[in-house]
Amino acid sequence: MNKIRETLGSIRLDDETKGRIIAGITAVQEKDTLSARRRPRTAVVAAAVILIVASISGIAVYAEKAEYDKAVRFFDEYKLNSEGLTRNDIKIVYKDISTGRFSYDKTMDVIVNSVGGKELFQEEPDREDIEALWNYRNEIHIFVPKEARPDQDGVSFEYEYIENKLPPESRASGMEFCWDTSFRKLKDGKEVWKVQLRDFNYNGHVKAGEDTIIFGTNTLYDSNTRMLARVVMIGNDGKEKWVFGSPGESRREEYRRGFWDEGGVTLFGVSEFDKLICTRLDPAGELISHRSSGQPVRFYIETAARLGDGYLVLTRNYDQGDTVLKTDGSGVPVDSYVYDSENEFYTIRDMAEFGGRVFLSAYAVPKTDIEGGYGGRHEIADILKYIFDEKAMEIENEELTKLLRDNYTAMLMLCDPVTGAPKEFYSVKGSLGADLKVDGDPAQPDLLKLVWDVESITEAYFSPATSSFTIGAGCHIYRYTFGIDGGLESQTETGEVAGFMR
Amino acid sequence: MLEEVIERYGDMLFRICIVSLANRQDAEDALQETFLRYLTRAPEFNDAEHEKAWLIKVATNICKDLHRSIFRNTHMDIDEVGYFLAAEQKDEGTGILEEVLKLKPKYREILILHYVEGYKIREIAQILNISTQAAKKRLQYARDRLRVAADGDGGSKPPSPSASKEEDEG
Repeated sequence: MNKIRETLGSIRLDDETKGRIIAGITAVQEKDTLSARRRPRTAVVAAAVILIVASISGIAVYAEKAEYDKAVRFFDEYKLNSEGLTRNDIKIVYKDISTGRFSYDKTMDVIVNSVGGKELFQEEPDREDIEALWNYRNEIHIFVPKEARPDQDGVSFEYEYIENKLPPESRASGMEFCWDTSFRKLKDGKEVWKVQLRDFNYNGHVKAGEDTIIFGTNTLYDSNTRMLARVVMIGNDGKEKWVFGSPGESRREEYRRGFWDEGGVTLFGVSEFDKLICTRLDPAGELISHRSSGQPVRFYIETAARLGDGYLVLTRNYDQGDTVLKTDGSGVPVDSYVYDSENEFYTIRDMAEFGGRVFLSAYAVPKTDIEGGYGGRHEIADILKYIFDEKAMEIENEELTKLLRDNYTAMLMLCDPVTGAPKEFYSVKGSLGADLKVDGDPAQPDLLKLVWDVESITEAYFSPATSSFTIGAGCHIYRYTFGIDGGLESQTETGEVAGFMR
Repeated sequence: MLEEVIERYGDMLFRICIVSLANRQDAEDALQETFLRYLTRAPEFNDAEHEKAWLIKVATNICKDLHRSIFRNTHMDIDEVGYFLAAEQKDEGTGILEEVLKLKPKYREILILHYVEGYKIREIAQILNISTQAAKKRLQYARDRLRVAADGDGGSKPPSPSASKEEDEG
């Protein structure tokens, strides 16, 4: 290894580079702004933009060439990516950023392409946060599932399972009971209708105007009988309008996500563990198309979102990680993305379409050298090893909380509107990306907001008497709201709490 | 004060940044950011060794952040890195550099810390905030991969007594 030592050891900083670095640092210190940095990378671009706006005031009307030259100099100075932009685009983007308007749809792309992920800063949890978490935990709080939260029309849904004893003549394969799903629609907290769907395991629902489409599977299946996908439309009067059953020939099919438009409903699901299926029904429940596409690994569907005329479908397999499948309008995959980096493993938790783009809520964890895969329980493998090897199975909550916060980073990612490829948009250290939704009246698209929930790890605990391989934590939920231009409008500590366990 | 600290640590930190990031522009960014943080956020150091370890930690973390941004400029330019080799190393050194840059950044960093800066396994583990076991494994892996480019130390010859002793201390 002498050659390695000699080679690498001979690398020296030359005077020219040294001079540039000193000049850059000195300029930063003198101006006390980000503008002297060669490339503002991890700093919040919003802050950089504010400084830019503050320093450029009273823009006069220039002749076209002068205006364009100025825009080009601005792009150069802030290392903005002008690839694919016309001369006019460059001028408009420059005006957008320098005046803080962000009215041009390409401006957000330029910022994202130029500076990558922007970090949102949160304070580390202090004693008050931990005290609040303790108080919250000791009161009775029921975590409200996402589907039970009212939408902008005040509509919400609830479901539960009811055991149903089968009459003797229906007891096939010795089964005495099946499970029904009791499902109800509420508006402003008052029940609109309630149905009991026999032999029905709920997987999801989608609003179809005033009607509701519920999908799930039968519950009476075993190695000899098929798991059948079931789809039912319930009218606003609570009456069943139509029922649709499994169209495929496989032994196992289930739907997980649905989309409604005037053409009918598009349902995404999995068949035989490794086939992506997409079934399209017209508003009367008649089959339009059914597509099945085999994938290389077993997977399940976490969520999906529209992308242009097609869709992005998030599939998950813990050993392989998350794969985002881009499909055409009939649900046939045309491309796929694995969001992966050299040092981090990403888990995507939610998707939402907003302003013609698809956003992903995710979190990143450093990849471990310990064999066994990534994701899930493997996320804390290095921390557990540290507790076993260095701490003799005892660790203070404070130290464990710091280790856990260092391990997790919440990510909000933005997918390219054409290709679907995801890019980092915002990040928050010490947290996990959670629910993502769009708020506001669809009839006023400019006023819509993207709401991103982030679970900030507040206090972690390790209880080897319970389980040697489990770490739990309480997380405060922060809510970030973005406008249609992609700008961050607010950050709120909601007071809500989420649990963490691996 | 800035010039002084750059004189003392500039070469070492630049080595870490450019070998980790493998292109000049990112390495300059990372180095500039490291010294900025030194000037604005450095704690009170117990001694020079503490100061050095702190700077290394900051530099490697900044490099890690840059690697995390998957759509950053990911081009690796051996010529850009090789430009900074000493003249007498340029001939043979370029081939070795090429082999080193084939490794993932976390293995390149550990080569610099162990073979160039002389840190032991436990010290590297502390600086990089990884377990001793992980530091050992990384170094072993890097050595195995570089056996072809090594000067005979990593071949069939058994390790020298001093090398064995270093590993035991790790």
